[in-house]
Amino acid sequence: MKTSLHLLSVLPASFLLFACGGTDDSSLRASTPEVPSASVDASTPDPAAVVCTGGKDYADFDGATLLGLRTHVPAGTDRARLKPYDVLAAEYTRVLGAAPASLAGAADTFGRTAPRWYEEPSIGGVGLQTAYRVAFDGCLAFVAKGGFPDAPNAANAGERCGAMTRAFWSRTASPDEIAACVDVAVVGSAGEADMSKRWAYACAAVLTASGFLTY
Amino acid sequence: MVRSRLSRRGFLKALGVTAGAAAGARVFGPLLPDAHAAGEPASVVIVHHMGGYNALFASAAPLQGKFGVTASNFTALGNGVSMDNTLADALSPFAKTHVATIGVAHGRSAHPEARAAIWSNAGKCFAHELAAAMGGTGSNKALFAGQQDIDERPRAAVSGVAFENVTDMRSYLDAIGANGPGPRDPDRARMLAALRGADAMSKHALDANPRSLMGMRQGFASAVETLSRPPASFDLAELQTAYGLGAASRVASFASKMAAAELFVRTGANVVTLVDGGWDTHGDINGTRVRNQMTENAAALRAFVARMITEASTRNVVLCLLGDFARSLPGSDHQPNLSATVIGRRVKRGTTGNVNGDVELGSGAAGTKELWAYLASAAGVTSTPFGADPHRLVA
Repeated sequence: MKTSLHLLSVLPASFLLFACGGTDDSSLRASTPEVPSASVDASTPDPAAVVCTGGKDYADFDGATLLGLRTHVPAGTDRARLKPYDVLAAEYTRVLGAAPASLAGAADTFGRTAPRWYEEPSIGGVGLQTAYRVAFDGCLAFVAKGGFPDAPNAANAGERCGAMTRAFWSRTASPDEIAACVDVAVVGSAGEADMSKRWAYACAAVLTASGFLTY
Repeated sequence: MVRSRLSRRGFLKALGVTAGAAAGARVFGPLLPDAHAAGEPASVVIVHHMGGYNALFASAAPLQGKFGVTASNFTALGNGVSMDNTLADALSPFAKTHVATIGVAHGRSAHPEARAAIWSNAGKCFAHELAAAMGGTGSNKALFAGQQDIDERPRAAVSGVAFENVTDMRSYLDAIGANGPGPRDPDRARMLAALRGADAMSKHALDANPRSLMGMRQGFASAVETLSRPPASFDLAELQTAYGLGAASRVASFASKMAAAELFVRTGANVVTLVDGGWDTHGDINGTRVRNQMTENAAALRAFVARMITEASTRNVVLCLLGDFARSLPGSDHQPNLSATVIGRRVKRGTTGNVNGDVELGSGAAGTKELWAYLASAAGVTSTPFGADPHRLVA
């Protein structure tokens, strides 16, 4: 019930957000924003930040003003969202060619929601470990298909990490991001006798990074 | 998020929860080592009844004639503590002598504001602060059993401590290394290096999304911390039997949340919280609905209390039952104060939370911060992260 109420209350707020989408919108200006409701956890906004001041205010069912609930952050931040569990099978299939078999057993860990129910996905340490295990399972099959004929080393890891990040994240990784992947492949997996598994460790790391798990 | 209680209750009944009291407090042997501020390992477990916590569970005697309270359906435990029999019957004889009622005059009669008052200390989560103050060496100091959460609680970490929601006990055991690795599982040491790498690859996104990816940032830190520790051991099957869960490891029903709370306590968590939905009981003028709900929860509460709060326990476990606020008269609506039930080995039987016939606390009743000060005191925290404890019901 509460979620329904929240959804209803979010709708007008969503229209406000859309109305403030352009940086040249007259409703966006540098100002001292409204003081948040005392009951709401909101950090003190930067007075110099560009904030949305337009739109019509609405009262929530408990009388609280929706404008009072508005969080002030610099434009463009906090747009990333975790992919919900329900899309992960298709996402793994898209990048690996098949969903890992272990994904089905991880539904409770990722917090699969009931049909026609929405909850903002979240992930913590246990979830990230599970995500890594699932990715590693899928990556074992992925690297076994070919394309990784030799052990990772400083000469070949950069190119393959670049290819994996490009394919898995749908964008070109930065040098620092590729370096982190290379480090997993070359250093982090050292001691693993199975050459394919060494690549799987790096592959799974790329799939556990925000570039794949969020959108 | 608050879900419908109907399907959950049906599921709970189907589980046929049975008490696991016979297993005893030392069934797993000594608990995992965990230094504590007072030298004694401690854990605080908070059950938040989403919507409200009727004062008949914490201060029944003054409510005779209200909410269906009669002379025969509550138990006077002594030192002014009285509670409805549906809860009293879930307590062991030891727990009945180590229970207190704590009054909280938060003055809020709207749900979000009341929950914010209970959980937010000027923007910091009280529970995070408590878990941080408790110290110790556990890798997961604050754990939330289940996905159902408290929207109003601040998410930011305090001294690196923040709640992590755990929705599956088997995955949690995988994370702490208590389940042996499967044939397609990664090696823990290499997974540690790989997750550090994934964290580094995520840096730009985590920096650009400090709120929406706050949990992920905290999760990487938690995962690295957990994987840095030696693998733990735990008998999940015994726990599932004790709480009547069958082979299920999902943390969703009340019984599974209490079982998870025990799991977290036994593996070193300082503060554990769980939410039970469906307690916004408008119109429950005879208290029938809340009694029925407490009756459905009683078996799991009984198991937890009998196994975790005993004289012989090697860990000082403090259980706190609370809700947004008490229910008001005559219609079981929103009373702007709360009487919480606290049970623990160091708890001295007594009350600062007795209400009058109108469910009001006395004019000198303490507030929310003082409740947390009391929980810290009952847990043996030697510092005073929330100021002095005015309740003084600690042995």
